[in-house]
Amino acid sequence: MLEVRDLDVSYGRIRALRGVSLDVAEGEIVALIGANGAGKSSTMNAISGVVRAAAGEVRLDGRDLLGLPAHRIVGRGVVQVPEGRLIFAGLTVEENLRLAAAAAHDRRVEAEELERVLDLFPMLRHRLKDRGSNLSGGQAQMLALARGLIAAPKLLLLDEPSLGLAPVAAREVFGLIAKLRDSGVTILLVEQNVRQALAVADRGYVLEGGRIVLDGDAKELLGHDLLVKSYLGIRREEVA
Amino acid sequence: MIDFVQNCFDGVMLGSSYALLAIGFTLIFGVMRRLNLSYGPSIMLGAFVGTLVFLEFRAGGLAVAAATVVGAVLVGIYVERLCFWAIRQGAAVASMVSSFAIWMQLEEVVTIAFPDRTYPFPPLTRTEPMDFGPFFFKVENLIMFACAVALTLGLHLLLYRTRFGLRIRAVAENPDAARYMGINIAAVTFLAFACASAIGGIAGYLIVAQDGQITPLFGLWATFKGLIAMMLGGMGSIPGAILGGLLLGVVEAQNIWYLGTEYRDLCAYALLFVFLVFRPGGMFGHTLAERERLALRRV
Repeated sequence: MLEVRDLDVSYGRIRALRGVSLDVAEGEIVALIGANGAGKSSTMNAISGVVRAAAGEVRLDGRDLLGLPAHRIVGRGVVQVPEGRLIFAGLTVEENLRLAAAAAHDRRVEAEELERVLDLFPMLRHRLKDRGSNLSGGQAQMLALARGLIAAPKLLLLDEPSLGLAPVAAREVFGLIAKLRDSGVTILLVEQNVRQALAVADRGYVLEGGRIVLDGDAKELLGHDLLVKSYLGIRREEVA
Repeated sequence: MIDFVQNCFDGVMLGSSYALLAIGFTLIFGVMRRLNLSYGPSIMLGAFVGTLVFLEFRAGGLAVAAATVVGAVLVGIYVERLCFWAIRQGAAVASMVSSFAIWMQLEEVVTIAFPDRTYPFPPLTRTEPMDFGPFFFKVENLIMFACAVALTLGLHLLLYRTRFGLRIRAVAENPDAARYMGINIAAVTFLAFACASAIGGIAGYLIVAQDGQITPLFGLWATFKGLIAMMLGGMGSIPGAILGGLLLGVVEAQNIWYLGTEYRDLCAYALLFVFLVFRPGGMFGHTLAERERLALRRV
């Protein structure tokens, strides 16, 4: 469904991505793993058009995405839930949702989509008139996910959905991602929580210094030497 | 006491025109976080288009009003393309400086095209003032006040009842987040700018029709009054712009009565100075430090 070929991204003289290629098939969850600054967010932002790529190709169902402005890419069905959630604190929960729905649907469908998403996030139903600033971190992440889903995306890009959340809230987020997988949503997932990301993903790519250094089946990656040494080992100590 | 109350009434009417100017200003600032110093001059140019229609075709009030608004919007779009869209990647101060340069350009254009400087403008109405007990009201003041109230309500409905308004509020709060939501920021900004110019055009028409004449200096005057009223209320806040405009109007009206017309502008600057020292964020706004704190608290 999504094909990324030889993607290069630079910020001034700093090269963030060097020839990144990856694929996401329909209905699949693919995890993008790597240390801070490895280029995970750059990859996502280049796919969603928020950052301009210097070179490469990005195709969705065979159609070119690269070079389109960000709002047109959302229109094509690629929706990113950005790192840090970026909830509109001054807008109500309902306004946050309607804003995201308006990008993809006309008025009649908007109400149905709102209902559909609220069934998925019953917690938000009681808080529709609350301002975004009154939500806890976990609730804000749920709103961010709901905002991404309300546009009925073909491909959902999740950038660090569990970052900064309490363990209970993080578990809830991963539970939801598993639920989304079962309902057939296609997801590209960036996560610093490598173990949980690979537990929920079908396949994974490991980024280092702006390059893909490893890829494969999620279960295999979990046992891979490089990963155990570089990421999982540290994780284990942190958890303990 | 009766004088004081009468001055308050007059001040509110005068202030309603300041409020309209400030609303246009604050709408642009709220959406772009950039100051448009050319706001007044683009309204001034619109008013000269109105004068042209009046002098050439002997047109009535409505046609002159329409010409003024259309002129202000077209010049506003010219300013937006040049000073904001073209350098949207650049620093905010670059937009402010270029809007100052365009201001000078617009004044030059008007001075060359209209060499007599002062031109007649058709008045709103020639009706006698109306008495209400000990107070009296000029009809054109009442019309101006009514228009200001109607426009403010209309803008409120636009911002809080339509999809376009929701997009404006989203872009004003956080353009980065808005981009992820699939919002075409350039389009929203452009349309918000055009709306602000139209509001400015209507305000300009009402004010100039009261004066009965237009000079190129109106641009400077409109930018100053709008800017001061906006800063009193808090930059980017629409309720602030309304209250700031009304406060400025009332203070000026009291001043004109008790101290004399020559102190009118001086007291406006004094009022701004007092606010900048004691309440730099204005009545409704946040100072930059507060804004940053809020941004950090953002979940």
